[in-house]
Amino acid sequence: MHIMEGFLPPEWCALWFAFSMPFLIYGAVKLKSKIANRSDKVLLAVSVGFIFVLSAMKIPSVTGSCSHPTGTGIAVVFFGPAITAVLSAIVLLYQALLLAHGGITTLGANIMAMGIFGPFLGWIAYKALKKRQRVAVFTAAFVADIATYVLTSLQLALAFPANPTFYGFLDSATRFLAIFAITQLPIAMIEAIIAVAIFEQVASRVVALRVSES
Amino acid sequence: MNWVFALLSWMGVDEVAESLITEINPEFEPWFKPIFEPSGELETFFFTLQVAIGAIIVGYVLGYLHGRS
Repeated sequence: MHIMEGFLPPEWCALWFAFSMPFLIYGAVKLKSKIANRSDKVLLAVSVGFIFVLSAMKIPSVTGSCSHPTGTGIAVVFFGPAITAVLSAIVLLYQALLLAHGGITTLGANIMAMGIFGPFLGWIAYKALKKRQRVAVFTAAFVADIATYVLTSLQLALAFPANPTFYGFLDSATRFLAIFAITQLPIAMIEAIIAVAIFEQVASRVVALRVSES
Repeated sequence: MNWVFALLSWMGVDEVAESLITEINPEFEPWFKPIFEPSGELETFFFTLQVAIGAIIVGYVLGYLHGRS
């Protein structure tokens, strides 16, 4: 889920846009340097495709509601969070313009959650566990997915505190987290399993491609 | 407690969040409407199109890598 069009007060929209723009620009510059290389181009394509497929699958969950994975795990593992932010922005824009899912005004906030915060934590998890690659990919995809929804909950709680004190924020945060994070747990698990499967298929063969390139 | 019942109806989690927002702040009205809102059929089409684009790309690359190795 992404924050719906018009659901964040204008000042919050502006703030999240201001936060996410530098990452997007940095990511776009980094992305440009990757396009020249054939093996990177192949990996980029898989990463974008994976985000497109996964972020359109609305999966029923234990809480009795449906939500969709983010699909950013593969991109993070191959390219890190900056480029993932750009790739997520493409999908978010598609969904905002054609599906009325998410929105133009909330695009900054959604890029912050799905493109930057989630992937960044996923990337840290991947780096920390890198020695055991399967575990690392699984954890990275899982963390990137969950963290996205955690930040979405916090963004909504900041904009809609139950009362204007810090405790009001905490109160709202627990209520949004109860909906988003718990619904997301099994979905993130499914996403992580698919991510490992795709990673296994791609990673070793791309190494062979790199060798033939050099 | 609207959102508790919403949780058990297999609605999208964003609709559940929407009812929680109106519970926290009953006066809140979205200040911006989507420029283009697809009908139910069109929405299905665009979601399917999104998956199709992604699946073609992933499938193409997997096949390409498979063929090369």
